Amino acid sequence: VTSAVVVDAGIGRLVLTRRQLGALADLASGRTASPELIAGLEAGHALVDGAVHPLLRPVLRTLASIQGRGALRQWRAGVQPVAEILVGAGGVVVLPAGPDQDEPQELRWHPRPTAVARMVAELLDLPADDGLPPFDDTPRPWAELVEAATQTGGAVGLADLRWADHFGDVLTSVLVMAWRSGGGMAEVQPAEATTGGAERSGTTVRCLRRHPLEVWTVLTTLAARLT
Amino acid sequence: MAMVAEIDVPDDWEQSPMAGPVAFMARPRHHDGQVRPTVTVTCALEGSRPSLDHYAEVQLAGTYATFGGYLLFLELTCEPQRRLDLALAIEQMGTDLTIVQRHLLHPDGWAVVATGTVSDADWPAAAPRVLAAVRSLRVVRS
Repeated sequence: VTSAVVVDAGIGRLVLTRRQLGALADLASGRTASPELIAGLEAGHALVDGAVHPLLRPVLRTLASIQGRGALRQWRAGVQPVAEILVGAGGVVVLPAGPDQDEPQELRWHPRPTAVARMVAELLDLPADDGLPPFDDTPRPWAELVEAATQTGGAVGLADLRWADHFGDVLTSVLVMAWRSGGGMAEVQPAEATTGGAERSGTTVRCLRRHPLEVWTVLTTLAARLT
Repeated sequence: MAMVAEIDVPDDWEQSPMAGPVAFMARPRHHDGQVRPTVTVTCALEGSRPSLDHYAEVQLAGTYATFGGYLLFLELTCEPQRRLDLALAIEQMGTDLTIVQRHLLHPDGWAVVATGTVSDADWPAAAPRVLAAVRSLRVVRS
């Protein structure tokens, strides 16, 4: 039996695929799962004597109570999977490895939904220094930002944070950021009114300089938006 | 050496003198959230008369050891006086908090520090006044 599952209580490390998480949720709620999935979960100690490992129970509780949901996409050299952020009464769960059902996810869980701002800040990993952003506010093609951010060894970061206040809602961009790795960041906005976000391919955008604490303020509104 | 530091306290806040190294604490008289925002001002004697870089290094190490958390903002400047500004996102006693600090460092070896503490949930509304209070830190007599 091959298993991507890691349940390490010593360092609190949890690694499972989305498919395995789904099977665990099924089992926890009295439904069945395939014998192959169960064998993999047992091999990785996610299931012990038929019971879900205690480290995974709060994760499942959070996933069963999702209110808000976010997706963070970053453009860098090489493949950069979209991180999913799930917020519910049980806390915050981050699935950092994209939507593939069989991709191992280094799970992060936090018991309070109000921790979502700090968890997203850690995912974004923006510089702490204020300074000139990598682009001025002259309208320019979005593709120019993507090209700068995806250069190997480049010093430009680019990210799009999408959010939905309710689980079933469509995600919409709440913050698109471009930054210089040594400090200096800008919020990216469409240069003209459009129905899409700033990140749309073919869009002309403007980069408006932001102080690190202005960005933090936007992130702290995420938990407050949950109803 | 007696130092007197002050900040601009918003009109609807109260200011309380404190014993020990904390010179005073200011906070809103009324607050609806779970954690009342506070700004505390402390005066410290830095006997080693450190450089600003060394001071920042020691303060950051101490802050991380005390609070942990995620560094949101850091700025060191020597104009118009030696100053360290920082902001951290931390969790403490079951609450998610934003900490903002201004340190003013005098060549004679003393430092004054204003620390603003605000629940993340209150930060969007409270930030302008807390930041203004922290950034107004000054020494009026030493």
